[in-house]
Amino acid sequence: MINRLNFIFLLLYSYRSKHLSIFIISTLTIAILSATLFVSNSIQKDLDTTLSSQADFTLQRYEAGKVLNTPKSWIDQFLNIDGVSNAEGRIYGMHYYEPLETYFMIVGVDMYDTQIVKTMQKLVNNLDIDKFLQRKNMIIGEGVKKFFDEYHYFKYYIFRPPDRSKEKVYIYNTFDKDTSIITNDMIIMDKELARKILGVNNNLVTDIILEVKNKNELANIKEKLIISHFNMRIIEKKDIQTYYKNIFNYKSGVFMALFLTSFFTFLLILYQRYSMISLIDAKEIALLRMLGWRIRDVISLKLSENIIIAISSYFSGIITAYIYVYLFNAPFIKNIFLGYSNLDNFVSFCYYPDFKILILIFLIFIIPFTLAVIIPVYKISITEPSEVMR
Amino acid sequence: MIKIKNLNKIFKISEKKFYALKDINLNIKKSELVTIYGKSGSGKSTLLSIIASIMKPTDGAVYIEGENIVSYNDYFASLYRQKTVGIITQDFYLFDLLNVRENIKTALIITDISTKEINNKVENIAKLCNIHHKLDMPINTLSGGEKQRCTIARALINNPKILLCDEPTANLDYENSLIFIEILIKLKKTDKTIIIATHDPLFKTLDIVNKKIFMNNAEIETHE
Repeated sequence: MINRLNFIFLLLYSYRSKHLSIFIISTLTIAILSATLFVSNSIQKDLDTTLSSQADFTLQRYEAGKVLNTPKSWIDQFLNIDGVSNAEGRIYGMHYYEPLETYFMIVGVDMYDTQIVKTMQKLVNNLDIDKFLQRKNMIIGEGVKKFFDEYHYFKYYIFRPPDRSKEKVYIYNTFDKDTSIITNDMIIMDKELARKILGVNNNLVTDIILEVKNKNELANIKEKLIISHFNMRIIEKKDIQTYYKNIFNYKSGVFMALFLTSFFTFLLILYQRYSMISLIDAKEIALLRMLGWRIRDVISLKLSENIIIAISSYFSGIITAYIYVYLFNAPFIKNIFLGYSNLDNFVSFCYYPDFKILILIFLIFIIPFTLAVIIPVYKISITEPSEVMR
Repeated sequence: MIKIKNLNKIFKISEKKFYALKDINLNIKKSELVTIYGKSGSGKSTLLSIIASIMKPTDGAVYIEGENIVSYNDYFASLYRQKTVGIITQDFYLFDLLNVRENIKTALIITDISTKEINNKVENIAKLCNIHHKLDMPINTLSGGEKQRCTIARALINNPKILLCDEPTANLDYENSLIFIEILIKLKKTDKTIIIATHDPLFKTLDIVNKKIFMNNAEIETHE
């Protein structure tokens, strides 16, 4: 056994230049595959964390194909529906940030509502609500912070509402990094302050959110909402989750399809490389057979040699992907998933250990790799040594 | 020791059949040194390949110590190649990137012999073949004669009963051919059965040769 192991490592060392190219290509393949799955997994978990705090229903006034601000008076009507535990008007909208010609999402929240405060505390570290309300404060996403920092708005920013007045709002804190997929371009502030900055009339809200205590009643309540107003769009929590997931699944699907195409091309090349095994390689196999090595001895030698390469490539690829995604924040691949629009470039990925992904990558890579190498080696091994040597 | 009965080997090339060996019958006794002469394509190498069990005949039988090696499956054929025969070829067939020691060892890797014992065997056989001074040299730095001696050492490492040499001096100069013959004389004294396929006239004058076989057109023409 020791002699065999020594021989395997001796061959690996002696033929290192031949193996190195396969090792590098395999490492790159594994790294790309792993990085894709890490990014996709991180996005998925971010979405789950952020969207779990969404309301059951979001209601918008919708007329002539346009979304309009919703009358505040509808809130009381909805509160009268049996089963609705809470109804609330929201104020939000896009703010144009002139220096960089980009948009931020301003969301106004009722900081006196204990439920909202609890949700906010999940999204922001060390949120002291009394301190927050002492002056005009805001909580900003990672992307917004980068843009503000670029123009030296380290402590506050002066908004210009539609009436062209000035509103100086202090930066209180930033959102947790693990919610950045949603909160990246977001600014959260007190509802009334947001109303002023966005220019929303006092008797209107941007939309209304509803909470339902018994989730089994969601369908019934939806029916009642449909008949209450003909000009209303009803968005369910699951619709929002599906919408986001579809976007990312679509993008990751397209990427995976492209990746798998390249991966199988690589395997094909590998297979062909061994199928058209060089005269020297083939003669070496025949030589071993001539010296009394059985077919299974030759296959076990080549299998061990290539499994060592494959496993080293696997770990080196995983480590490379880990560094690329979690330390360097996945440049290039990130843009494929998130797009180049607005502030998405500042999203940072958080690590969620998922051994299923690691096992999946291992199986996706090792099995085809091994087969691509072993089938041609087997074909040569079963050929008469004299024929190969001729 | 070796008994060949009605041996035929037919190759097919694009539906055309031709005989590489035709109705070969031969008896070789233990410890005999046999030379097989013939032109290229006469069937010498094919005959050696079949005796070495690295090629299957179309029909016929090859008995080695009473056992028909033609009927062996991969396990027994490999065991036979590993323990009973040593093969020396004109093209050396060595691992070019390994050194002499590692090349000689190759035949013993799959045995249960300890590393220490393998190293001892390598040292001894290398001395016998006069290659011990080059044990740690890579193959691609050796001369043709040294490569040939390395091949001989590898063929002998398992102490085989039969030694098959296919055109052993074809790639050697006169001086190295003489060194090979010196080694052959030493080996003859060790009770091995040796078969040499050659067309080198140097072997014709050797008095250690017990039997001379002449082949032509896939058949044995004469015995001496």
